[in-house]
Amino acid sequence: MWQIKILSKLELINFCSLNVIIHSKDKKARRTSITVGCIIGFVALMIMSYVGGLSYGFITLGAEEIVPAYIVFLSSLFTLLFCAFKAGKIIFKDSCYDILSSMPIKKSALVISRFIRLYVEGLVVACLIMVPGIAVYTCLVKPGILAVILGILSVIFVPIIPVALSVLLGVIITGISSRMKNKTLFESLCVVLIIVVMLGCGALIPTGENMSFDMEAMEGMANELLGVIYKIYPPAAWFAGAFGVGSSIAFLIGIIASATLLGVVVLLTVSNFESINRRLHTSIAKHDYKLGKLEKKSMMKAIIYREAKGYFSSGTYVMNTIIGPIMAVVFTIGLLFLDLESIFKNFPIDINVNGVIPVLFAGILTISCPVAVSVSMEGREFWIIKTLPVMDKDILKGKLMFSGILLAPFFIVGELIMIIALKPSISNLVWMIVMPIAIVFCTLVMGLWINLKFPKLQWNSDVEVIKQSVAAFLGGFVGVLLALFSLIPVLIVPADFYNIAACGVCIILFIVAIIINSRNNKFDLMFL
Amino acid sequence: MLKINNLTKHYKGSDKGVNNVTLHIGKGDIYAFIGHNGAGKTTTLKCVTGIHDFDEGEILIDGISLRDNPLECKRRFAYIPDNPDLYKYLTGIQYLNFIADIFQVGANDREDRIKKYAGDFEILESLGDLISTYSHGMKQKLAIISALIHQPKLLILDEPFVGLDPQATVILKGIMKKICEAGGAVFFSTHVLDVAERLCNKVAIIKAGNVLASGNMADIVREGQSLEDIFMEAIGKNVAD
Repeated sequence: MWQIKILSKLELINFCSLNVIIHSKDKKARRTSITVGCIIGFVALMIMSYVGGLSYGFITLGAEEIVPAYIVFLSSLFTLLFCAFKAGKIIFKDSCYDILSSMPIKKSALVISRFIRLYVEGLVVACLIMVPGIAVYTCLVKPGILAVILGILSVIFVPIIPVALSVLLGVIITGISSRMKNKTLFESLCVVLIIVVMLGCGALIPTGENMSFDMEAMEGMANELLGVIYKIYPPAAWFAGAFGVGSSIAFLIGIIASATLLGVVVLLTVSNFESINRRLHTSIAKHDYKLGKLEKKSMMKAIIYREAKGYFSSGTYVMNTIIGPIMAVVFTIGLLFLDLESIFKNFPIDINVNGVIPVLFAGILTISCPVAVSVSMEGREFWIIKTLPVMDKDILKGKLMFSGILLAPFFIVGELIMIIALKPSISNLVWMIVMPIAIVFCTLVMGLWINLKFPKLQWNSDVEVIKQSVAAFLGGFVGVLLALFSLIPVLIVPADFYNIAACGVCIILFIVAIIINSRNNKFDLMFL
Repeated sequence: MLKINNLTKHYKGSDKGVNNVTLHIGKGDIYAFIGHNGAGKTTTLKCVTGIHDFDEGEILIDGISLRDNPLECKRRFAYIPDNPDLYKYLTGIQYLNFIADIFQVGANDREDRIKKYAGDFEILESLGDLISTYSHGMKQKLAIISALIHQPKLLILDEPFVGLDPQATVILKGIMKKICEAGGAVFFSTHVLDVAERLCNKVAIIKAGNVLASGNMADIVREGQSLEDIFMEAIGKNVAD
């Protein structure tokens, strides 16, 4: 038990960067940590306001029965998304493996401490999503004291199942990939598969087609949504039953199911921990190289080649940044099967479908801006670039160009499908292509700027950079914010003036991108 | 070849760094830079190689200011750090090709040099393997080959002999001598005082960021003394302690 306590403490100190805040003499590092704290606090406030507002909306529209299930589902889904793609890396992280495995530490203590770290992350998500929902529901619906107590207790238990599922997924994927030569490719394919499955589940959620905004329709919609949630995620029914109607039995079933799954996953992880780690830390070298004909490349080609090699060597990097492009293409494929006119006709304002869709496409495409962590990914090897006779702006240009090359195939495929699905006029076709280009270009340049402002070069696991760094956090918002900015004139301006509005948006985006790019180019990497 | 004039560098929020360091490394010099852990050796080397900025002073490589024209300076030297963190995701040959591409070394030249140096260090057959599979010594050897692939005039090394096997140590010492015979210079930090005394014609001793002594080895190490005696004396420790 004391081993779990010590190891968990270490995990949490590392996760929260507590030592940097308390002990670091480096004012910049402390300032960055405090800034991160403020940003996270702000986002937390936004999430809480959103969930509170949504719960209020459901209740005032007479669909209060959906609130408990919805907050449990939302919390579990976010925890799953938050933990699923990094659980394997956290459980089997390689830093200090040699030292820890040589110490008299139980495998179970190591596994459980890492589990606890993931659980704490899940608990934070649960608090952010469930607490405001419970508060609003309690104030407006007054479900009774038992229901409220069970609701509050549910916050503690709801993260267990998604965290256990994430770890299970991580163990299976890492276990299989550890036997493979090309681990990254396998892990990336798994991510694609997971995304497709998740989007498939998403397709079950009612689209709102033929929906009108009256109370009766809302009630029908709420019942339909409730049915879908229970179908996709049955545990939502147990905890929602506990909070919604104060059912102790439902609550007990939830706890027993969570504990059982947790026990099974922990046992499975502990029993495979050593063998997977051994395979991960054993490298096979062939020692059979014969020097053949070598080719000389241009400096820029060499820089881009190195970027590509670095990118595809990190499963976490690929997994985290390929989600957006895949989702963007899936989104455009969905356009082929949806009756957009009937979906948008119920909106209170006229929607220019051919103007909105390309912006949404660009926003999804750039949801995980790869260049936003590209400088941080240099890590301990940054000295190489710093001592080579390459201009800093060429290094940054290489990073931008590689990200552009990475997104290009998804962009082209998505554009072609959009053109087939939306059949735009010539002028719409121009903006359908130029607008996403402007958003993507501006996102990449801003993502790079964010990374230069918030670099994280000292790391032991790439998860620290790709999943937990400020740049990764902020980089994820840039594309979405730029897409939202681009949507405003498209939605406000009458259809007749759409070309002017689109042109104005593109000019603004390109000007902003050029200004930030010139600032990036003046940056001296020596100061990082 | 390398002039460090009044170099001062302090880390923010820390009292560590270097103060007013002045060192002149001429053509043909093999210059040892010695001092205990945390004395400021690596900080000085990192400033000279452009990894760190510095607060005051001037660094000239071949008469060119590092601050005014870093690219020209970087074309003239090669640096090998104490812990060669190389791109783990590249194979040895991909890494060497990358460095050769950056320095625009011709295909034939790089082939000849890789064949020679990788053969000498006995890692030619491992060049097709990922660097992540290399031992510390192999990484060190690869870093040395990558430093030599563009034939630098100035070689800057931080603890170059750590992790090298005895054979590789002998080869590296031979390479250092050849560079100097060809009119180049070598500036390196080390804790191995015996090697420094036998290999180098010049030496500098640094303590707590201040250069305590510098100049010709023969002038600093007088007859009947060793570099070890001088070093211990300079840092204020009695050998008997």
